[in-house]
Amino acid sequence: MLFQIIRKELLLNLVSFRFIISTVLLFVLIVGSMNIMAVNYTRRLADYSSGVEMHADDIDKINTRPMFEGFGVTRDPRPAMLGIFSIGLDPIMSRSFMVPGYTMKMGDQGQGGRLFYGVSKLVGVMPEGSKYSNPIFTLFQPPDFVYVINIVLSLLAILFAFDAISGEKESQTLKLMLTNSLPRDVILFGKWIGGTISILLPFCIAFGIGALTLLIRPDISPAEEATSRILVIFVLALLYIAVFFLIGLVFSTFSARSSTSLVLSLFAWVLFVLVIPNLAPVISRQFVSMKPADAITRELERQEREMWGDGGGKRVKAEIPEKVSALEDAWLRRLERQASLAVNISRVSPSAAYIYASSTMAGTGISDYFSARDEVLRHRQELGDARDKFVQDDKSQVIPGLYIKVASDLVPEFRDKRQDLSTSLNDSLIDLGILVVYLIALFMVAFLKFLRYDVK
Amino acid sequence: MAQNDVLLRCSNLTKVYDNSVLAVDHLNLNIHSGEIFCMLGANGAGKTSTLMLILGFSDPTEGSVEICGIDVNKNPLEAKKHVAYVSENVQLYGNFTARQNLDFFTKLAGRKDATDEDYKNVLLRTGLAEEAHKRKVKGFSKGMRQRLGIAIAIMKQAKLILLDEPTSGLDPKGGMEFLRLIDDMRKEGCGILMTTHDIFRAKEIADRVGIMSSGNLVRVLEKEEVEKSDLEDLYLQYISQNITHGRIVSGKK
Repeated sequence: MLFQIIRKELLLNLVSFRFIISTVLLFVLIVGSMNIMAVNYTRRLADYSSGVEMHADDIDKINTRPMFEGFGVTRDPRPAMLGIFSIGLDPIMSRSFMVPGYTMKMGDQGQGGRLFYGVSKLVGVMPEGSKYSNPIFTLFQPPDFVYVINIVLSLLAILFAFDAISGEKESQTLKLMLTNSLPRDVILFGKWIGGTISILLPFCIAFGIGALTLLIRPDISPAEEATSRILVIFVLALLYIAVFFLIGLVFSTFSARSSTSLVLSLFAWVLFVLVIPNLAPVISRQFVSMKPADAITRELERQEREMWGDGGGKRVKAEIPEKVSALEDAWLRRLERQASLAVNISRVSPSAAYIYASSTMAGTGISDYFSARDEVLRHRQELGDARDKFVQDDKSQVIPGLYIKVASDLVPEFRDKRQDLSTSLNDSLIDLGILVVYLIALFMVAFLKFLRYDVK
Repeated sequence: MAQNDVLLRCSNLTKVYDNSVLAVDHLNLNIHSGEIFCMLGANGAGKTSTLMLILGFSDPTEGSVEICGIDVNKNPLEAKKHVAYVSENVQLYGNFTARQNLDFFTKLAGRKDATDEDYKNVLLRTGLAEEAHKRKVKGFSKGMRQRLGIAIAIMKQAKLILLDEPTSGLDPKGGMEFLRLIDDMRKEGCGILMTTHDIFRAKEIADRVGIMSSGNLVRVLEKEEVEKSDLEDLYLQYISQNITHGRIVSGKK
């Protein structure tokens, strides 16, 4: 009987207008998005390569002690290939960063913050390294795969589900079905499975075609680990669609009319997809407030000036590094707390859980961001240590040292390390769990409501 | 099954809705194999509420319903194996053909042995021309949908058939053909409970006629009484009594 219900749902959906529209829409959006993002990735990769080359030349120019001490080292993290699927925080994570030589502290010339990692290196009005001067590229950001699933497919899933029960009540076919020896849970389960398959069918086809078009691109060559990650991203999308289908189904069991269940489902969609994920950072900012990094920098500079006046360079040298370090640590810890609170609040929404899990699997998520930031901070320390060692070993003093070449291999290389698959899986487990809990909870609600649903 | 087997037994069946409306009031009714029982009554008399209680779509406030000896409230799934229902306005899946609708509901009824030939025969028997079998139901007239509804009931091979005003809105020819089908089902041993406003058709086909008012059968007439009496007068008399007094004390069979 379950098979009959699933089959009926599939057959009815396959000939429906909404199925045709969904198929066309998903094909255009998913295949289009994957390819646009692939082009975008290729461009970013080219930017990255030219950046690496250019900054390697810069290091070669650090051939004297004062230059090593005075100039900075600019590094270029590699863009994540799976940003094609979920761009996430990759535009920030893969941005070039500079470690000014005179302090070997993090810096950002454009915005003047010593503490910032990841802020734009805007010089004037143009992002450095960008080959695109057309502002329309910035005005209309290309939607990635996760965006399409999060916004479009969740909406389509609701549009497939909102009348699953209420619509059949209106057309009286539910009554006719229930005159048979048919348990209600079988009807509900059949409708869920059949309806979800109906929406997953065009999705899987579009995903398959999109993935194939990526494979034939010469610049995209996914490693084995990337394939596993893509598979998990695909499974997450399936779960997410099933959750939103259930949201529509739940409201269908709460309403006698399909117009009512449509309005309720759309309200839930707006709440879960638009309101909660955007509101969570605002709420977390109320609980964990932070001073802007600029304000802290200015405060440090003020203290530094005072020290110069009262104690001079010796005092500055003795006290400032410690102060900077303490303030920076406190600021970063607070940032993590604020971000973590925002993440936890927004996890009330399956949309946020899906984005966290998918971006983590793509290597562009929150945990990747903090891990990459730690890597950058570690590199800064490494550079500082190398400089100190060089200064210590350099017996030539300043003037003679001007003519002593600093060997390039004295400058430590930046290891562009991303989280491995098992760490990503581990980090996305909680969000995967949230989606599964949503599935079970929503089905239970729909089931309990449908048991007492008035079919008359 | 013997002619006198009781297929449906309603005992003291009572339904009071949440808004305190008494829809069915201590109704007692038996329907036997090979019998057509026509339930006459004005709108709001409690006919459809009674059918909904028999189908287990609402829980009785008091009393019980048994189909083929199975208590509907205690064992609804088992009881439903023996009952088929045709509503006043059969609505099926518009994007399915007649044949697909029939196939779906037949399989839902648990019959896996039905063949294409069976479907074709039953659809022809109900008067649906062969060209309509593969047409989408959304283009069907009401009469065609009613015929398809009966075909679904026949394919279920249920012993008890519940018909909720099945001939309303049908043209005279369609109504007559429909009654002929019901008569055939009676001859095959089915017990049929039909609610209707149509006194003339009830008189024509019923073995017994019950007049329902304020949730109860206020009068039940046997075949001979139906034939002898002026059913229309009798019906109007009871209905006007109900209008005059608001409620008639139940006359249990």
